[in-house]
Amino acid sequence: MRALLLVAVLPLAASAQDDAGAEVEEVVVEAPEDEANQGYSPDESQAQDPIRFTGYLDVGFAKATGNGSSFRSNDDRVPLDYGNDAFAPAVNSRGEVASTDSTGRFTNGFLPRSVGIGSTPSLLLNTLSADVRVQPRNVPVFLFARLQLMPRLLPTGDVTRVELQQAFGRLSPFKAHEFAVFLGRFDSVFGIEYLENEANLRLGITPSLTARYTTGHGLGAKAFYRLQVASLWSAFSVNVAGTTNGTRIEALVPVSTSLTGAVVGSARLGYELNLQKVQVKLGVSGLYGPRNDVRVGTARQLAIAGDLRVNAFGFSLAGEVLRLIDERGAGALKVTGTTQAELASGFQVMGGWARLGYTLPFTSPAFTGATLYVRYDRRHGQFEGFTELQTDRLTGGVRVDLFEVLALKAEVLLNRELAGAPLVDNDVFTSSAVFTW
Amino acid sequence: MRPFVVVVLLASACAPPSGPLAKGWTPREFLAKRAETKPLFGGWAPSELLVVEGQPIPYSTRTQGPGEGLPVFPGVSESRAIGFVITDIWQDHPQPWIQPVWMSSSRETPATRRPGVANVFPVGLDSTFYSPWWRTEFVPIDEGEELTNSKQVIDRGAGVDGPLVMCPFTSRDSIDVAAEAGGVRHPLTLKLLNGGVKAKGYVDGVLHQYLDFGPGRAQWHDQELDAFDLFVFTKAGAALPVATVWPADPARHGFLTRVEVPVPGGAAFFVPSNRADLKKGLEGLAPDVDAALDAFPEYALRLARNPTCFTMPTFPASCDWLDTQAKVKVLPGQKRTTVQLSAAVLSEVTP
Repeated sequence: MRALLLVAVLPLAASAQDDAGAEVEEVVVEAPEDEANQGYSPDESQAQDPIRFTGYLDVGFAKATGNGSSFRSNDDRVPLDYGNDAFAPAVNSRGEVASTDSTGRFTNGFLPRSVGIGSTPSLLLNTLSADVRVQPRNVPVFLFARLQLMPRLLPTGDVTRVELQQAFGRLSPFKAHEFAVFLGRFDSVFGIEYLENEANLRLGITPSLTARYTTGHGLGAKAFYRLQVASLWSAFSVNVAGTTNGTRIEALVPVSTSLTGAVVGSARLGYELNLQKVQVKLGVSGLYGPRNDVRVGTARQLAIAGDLRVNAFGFSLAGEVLRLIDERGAGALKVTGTTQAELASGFQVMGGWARLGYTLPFTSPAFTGATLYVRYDRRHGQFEGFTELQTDRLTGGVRVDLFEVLALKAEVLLNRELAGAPLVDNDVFTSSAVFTW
Repeated sequence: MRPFVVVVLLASACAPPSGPLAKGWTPREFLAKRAETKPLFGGWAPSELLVVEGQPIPYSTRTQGPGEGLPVFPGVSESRAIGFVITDIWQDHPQPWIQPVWMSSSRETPATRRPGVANVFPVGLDSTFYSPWWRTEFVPIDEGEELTNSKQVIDRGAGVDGPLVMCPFTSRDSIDVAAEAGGVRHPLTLKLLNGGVKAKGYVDGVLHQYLDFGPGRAQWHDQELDAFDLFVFTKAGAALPVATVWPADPARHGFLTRVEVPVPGGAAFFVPSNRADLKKGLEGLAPDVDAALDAFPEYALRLARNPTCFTMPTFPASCDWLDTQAKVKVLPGQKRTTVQLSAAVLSEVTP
């Protein structure tokens, strides 16, 4: 997965990954590895030792305009987060925003996490991420855990957080087949944006406007199978998961337990064409099951998405479209990963993003890559009975990789309220230095 | 396959308890369930909350005129007979929310509503965050200008704060306060009452119907409504079709919590001899009275601690009426419910 991401999107930046070089070579020469396999998860075949420790440090600097949130001072609608897109002023790869301060106005759990800087420019220690990988010799079992530390200060005080973001075991029972079963907490299988959840892997800095629906981690089991058709230079893959929560981020839907006792199913079917100079990847994803933000199983969530990636001659094009529907929560209280809110409303969203990147065709031992990119996001979201919000965002940025261990990124986000949402000044400049070990 | 199905079913069967689910009913639900005579809506039957043309009006001998109507219920406040309509009911529900309503005003008088211009509401009946309570914000506009959605309003900047108003959405233009041809009347005293004002306002560019009962109909602070008790008499756990007991100054206390009170032993309701229809459901609790007492319709369906007073020549002064909250709230066996309601007391038409 990791190797392919680097090849497909950041061929030069890939060299910044401490253990990626061999994977890149393997992928290019042999068979490309589908990142849909496991998200940012390691490949035990590359393991040098039974136990390895890796990770990254993401240090950011961000400045948002306005008050750092998407909330206008004269907006007294209830809940405030239903009438505005609080996720727009993102400042880092976690999707955290500059502010969610509602100045006492009622919100109902449709909020991202915040770094609490408002419009004040500030350095941030976005994430300190530590991984441990255990590959017992001569057995087809692999263990992985990722622990992350996020120092934060909000107006309410210190809210530094430690998160066990992933922890799973993987069984690959057949040497002759690309088949693996995972159990634990792992990456989403829905769409493609989850592949860039981690700051060191993301080409840019901030996630798209629809990432909140697709990039969450799941607690449960998943299975992956891929069939290579060498004569067609192609591969077909299926990735299926049954989890407690679905694919939404933990700020919106609890991950750690099932509130309904039922399983949320999600899956992606993928096709990839791997030519010498060109790669094309297509996927269709679906999700269906009970909402895991209410304690009744009768309210359902449903989503479908399509994704596309094309890589050729230094250019990379990627995009995703999404349609998601939540049924009304039948009068149950809403539970998110951060709070217990009031009633869970019906909701629907249509959205997507497209990103074009270009990687400069030269490197040196110190300068290991540079990529320019631009991304367009669009989101039409509506809570039942509320105005539909139509927003979009234009993101432009650059990533420079140095010494194979440091990625320097800078990005500008231009958020617009097209319809429904009040005009608000919530653009962002953000930057990030990611050290990988 | 079968073991997997069993596991899934077991998992579903072991789902954690969800607790009581919040429910809410508006005139739209009153209309949809109007044939239902069971007390489904927080203790009230949908059939008594809305009547359609030609149907008997509850507590009345009259029938509903054109359109659908919210019936006038009999109540009593500080010993005074009142009539009120119930517009919304909630059960096990969070505190109803106070949304803004934007009323257009002129730049010359920014705190006065400009007549003839539709209000703008941020949500309608489909929202889980709808309530009939709205906090007025005046928005100065130019002559001929019209605002139709919340984005337009908020993009203009802050307006001028106004009062809390009660405007229940009705889902259709034909719903009004129940009335026979000729006007809204108290069902017992037959006095003419002022109903709500039928109006239309914009929600996201689309006109919606509502009844405007005006400002000052509830107490509130910090965006929350203050609930006051509404005492409902019961027998064997079932609500009785009698006058409910309101707090003082009822027109300003329209957000209420239903408190059920068993009828004390020996007490009885006064029902005039010419209103035998009111005895339905009051078997054993409404003794026959002399026709001379028919001159006191305002006491109908009021509870007397000792009904022997009905035979005394000094009626109604002879009775110890349980018609104030001070008297009722000390009665034994009360049950405070999780039902809250919005109701509008209708003022009498002054000649």
